[in-house]
Amino acid sequence: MTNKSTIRRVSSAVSLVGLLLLACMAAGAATASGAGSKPAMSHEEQLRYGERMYREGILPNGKPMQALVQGDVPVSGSSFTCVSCHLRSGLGATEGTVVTPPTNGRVLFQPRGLLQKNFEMVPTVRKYSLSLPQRPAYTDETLAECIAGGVDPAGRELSRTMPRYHLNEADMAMLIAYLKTLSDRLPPGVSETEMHFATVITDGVRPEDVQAMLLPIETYISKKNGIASAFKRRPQSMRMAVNMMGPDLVAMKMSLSRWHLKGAPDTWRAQLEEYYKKDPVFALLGGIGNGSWEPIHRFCEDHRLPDLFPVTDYPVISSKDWYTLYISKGVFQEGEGAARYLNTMHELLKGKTILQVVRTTRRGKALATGFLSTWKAFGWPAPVTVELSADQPLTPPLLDRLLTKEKPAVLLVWDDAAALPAVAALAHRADRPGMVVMSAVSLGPELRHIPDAARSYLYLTYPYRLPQDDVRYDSFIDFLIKGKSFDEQALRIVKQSYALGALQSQALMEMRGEYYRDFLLDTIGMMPDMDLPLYERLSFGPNQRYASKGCYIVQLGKGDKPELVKRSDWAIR
Amino acid sequence: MNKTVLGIMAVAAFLASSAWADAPPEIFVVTDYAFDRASNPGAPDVVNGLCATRCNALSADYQSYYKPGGWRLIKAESGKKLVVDLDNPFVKGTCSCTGDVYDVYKDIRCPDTVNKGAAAEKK
Amino acid sequence: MLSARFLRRLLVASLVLISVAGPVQAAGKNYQRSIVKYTMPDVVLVNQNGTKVRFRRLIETDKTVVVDFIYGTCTTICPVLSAGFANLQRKLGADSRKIHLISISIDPEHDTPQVMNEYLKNFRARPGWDFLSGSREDIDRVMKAFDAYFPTKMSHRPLDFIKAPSSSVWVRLDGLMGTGDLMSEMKKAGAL
Ligand code: HEC
Repeated sequence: MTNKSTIRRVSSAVSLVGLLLLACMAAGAATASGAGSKPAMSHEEQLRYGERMYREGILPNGKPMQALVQGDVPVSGSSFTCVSCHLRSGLGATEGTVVTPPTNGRVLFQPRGLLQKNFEMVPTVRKYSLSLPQRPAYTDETLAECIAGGVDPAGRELSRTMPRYHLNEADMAMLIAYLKTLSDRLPPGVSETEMHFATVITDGVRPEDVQAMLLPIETYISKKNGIASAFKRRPQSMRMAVNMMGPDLVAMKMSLSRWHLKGAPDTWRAQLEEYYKKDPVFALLGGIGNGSWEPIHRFCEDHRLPDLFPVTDYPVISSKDWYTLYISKGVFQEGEGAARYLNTMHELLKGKTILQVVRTTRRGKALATGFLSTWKAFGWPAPVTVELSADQPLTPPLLDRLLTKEKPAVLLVWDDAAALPAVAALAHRADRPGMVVMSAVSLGPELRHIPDAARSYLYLTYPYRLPQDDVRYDSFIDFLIKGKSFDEQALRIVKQSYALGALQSQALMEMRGEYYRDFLLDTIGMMPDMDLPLYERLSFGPNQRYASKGCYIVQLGKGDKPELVKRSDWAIR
Repeated sequence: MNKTVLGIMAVAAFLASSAWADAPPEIFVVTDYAFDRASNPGAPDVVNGLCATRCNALSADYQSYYKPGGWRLIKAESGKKLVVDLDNPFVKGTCSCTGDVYDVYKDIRCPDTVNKGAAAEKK
Repeated sequence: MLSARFLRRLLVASLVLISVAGPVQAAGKNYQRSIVKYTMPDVVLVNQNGTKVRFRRLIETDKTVVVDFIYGTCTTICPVLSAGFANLQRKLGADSRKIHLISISIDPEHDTPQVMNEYLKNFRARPGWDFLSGSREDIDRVMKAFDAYFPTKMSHRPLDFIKAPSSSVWVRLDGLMGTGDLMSEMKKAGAL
């Protein structure tokens, strides 16, 4: 039994609780298998049903769970799952003034006192100890009474915000068996003294970009380890660090492996499996790749391994997946921004033609996908789409022919700077489209050379804070880049990776004492919005997987050092 | 200041800013907007939303100045009215954008406490 | 300067604890009621169908209006508020057409029409319950108009606002409550 309690901090209560927990788990398993309507059900099967009740609110018989909240509000099924309040890790949450306590076995089967000795600095324990009344440890029976009847073992009636669930005995036993597994065993990659991470680097990335990605992460880790060493040498001089990080995080050493992936993406999975087997890690931090992040994303889903803020233009776009957290939707987000902007003109565009020219490079396709999926979700018909092969840029005669044929009101050109001469030539065309939309990022430095005459009808997607506003944030990264030289692309990567450092250090300080993978993601999910370099307002939320959600539509100002001029909000609605 | 504290602050530097570099001297924070009906009496209702986008695009995000600290925002003008062209290829007209103007000063004292204190006083 | 920042952190941490401790301890029927006058901004918001709406027009109607602030991925507070709205609609039956329930997103960056539509479906919302999002600037203005400004959604508090037809004042209810409580507050306000 490698229960987490057995390797926790020294506390006389802890070993007792560990024993108690063992006893309860044995009892729980017995009840579950004894009372089940299908006695042949394996423990794994019971846990699967328990998990489904907890996460989806669906009973083993397939029907939604029924409950009563606030005393007289009947609720059912998927809208009122345990996970929506107690979160995936079961370690609870605080939102505004409402505290939702942990509902994992390890905490429930422990008495809740006013101050838990040696746990004073562990927010997760301290918060609930201070804000909720004392109670003795639960047993399986009292826990079932609590979930069904809303009374705790001290006889206190719980807040009516905690729903009262109607569950039969067998289903209740399965749910309780599942609660006992929540945030119970330390995951691979974490021990009492060390937390181990890896970062994935795929073939073909510029070395300076790899360095830019690594710099903030490695700086953070080495500073953190400096503190740990100092604490080991002279613990009494480290009161302030202990106050900030808690007694265990302050002593924790961190390490980072580099997992290089070579060759074709379809061979990466095997390489990842191999690395992970030899070198188990708590989470993947950062990472960088030129192509789709999908193979790494899938690997992390399957191993329930958090993967934080990889530097990629091609994240997996999904509203269901859990383990990879991206800083943005990458190139897709620019296409999305264009669709949102055009949708603000709703009535004006009804019945008009929208022509989309897509160069079928990875980038061009991602822009078009972002546009199309967002555009269709608004209920618009698909635009007229012309695909050009990757080696066929949009030339002036080709564009002329397309315009003569389609007469679009809006032209989207998902191509790189090679299309600029054709777009600039439209200045002389009387019946040119009202708007031409391109991606500023795809145009790169060529942006500056767009002739003045074309600037009036050219609208650009820009998924970052405008450069003239972002200078305010330069000092955030000064300490990292001092004495080093990075080009524009590498500097952007430093900023993306810096955001990971900020997120990670804050999350660990919140989590201290409870290093579980789902709790890491839950903790990030409950983080307040952040203002950091590069992006406007990063925001998080349980189940939100793209921290930056906006994209400006800009135009180019006049002159040879033109500024970008905003034509939209950051989050266009 | 001992070494340890500096070390901790280096970690904390991931969370909070020190001071920013040179900043724009003034920002405009939109408080209201409207389409000028007189500028195009026949315009469809959608222009109200277009003026929302147009005027909001002129606005700075107050929070993004105020929250990270390091700056003081001092209101220079309340309810300033800007009349701007809608600048839309599909419909003519003008928007009036109303907002407050703030002067932005670099705060040489302790960054965020000063700003937060100032905001609390205003309430 | 460094230690000042550190002290501030400690202070913030202890404030968080204090604010957390209050309401939960006094669990049960505990919400505060006040009567207030608000001026609504004339902003353009977007609803769950992607339709633009002028907020002030929506509020100035001959229907009873009930407003709350939620967001699509919110824990504990929003499920309870929204279950309250859903249950209110069920209890009112045919009468629910006389009442306009308006949920306003405090996470406009994430809450797109698609997210909001999905959310309402999940709570089996009937016609008469709209979920509104908008630009950050406009949402901030609405929150401020209700004296309910949350600089970040994580500082969210449970609130309901009731306005009777042709009334110029709002009943502000601070706290989580059952449908019975909400309905009796609506009756008291002449909104039912
Ligand atoms: C709407 C939010 C919500 C949902 C849904 C919810 N809970 Fe709770 N739960 C709470 C709150 C709030 C409390 C604290 C109540 C109190 O102590 O007064 C709580 C308390 C508890 C407790 C008591 C903890 C203790 O230390 O005494 C248990 C056990 C529990 N919940 C289990 C569950 C389970 C299992 C489910 C799903 C079947 C669930 N909860 C669904 C909000 C929720």
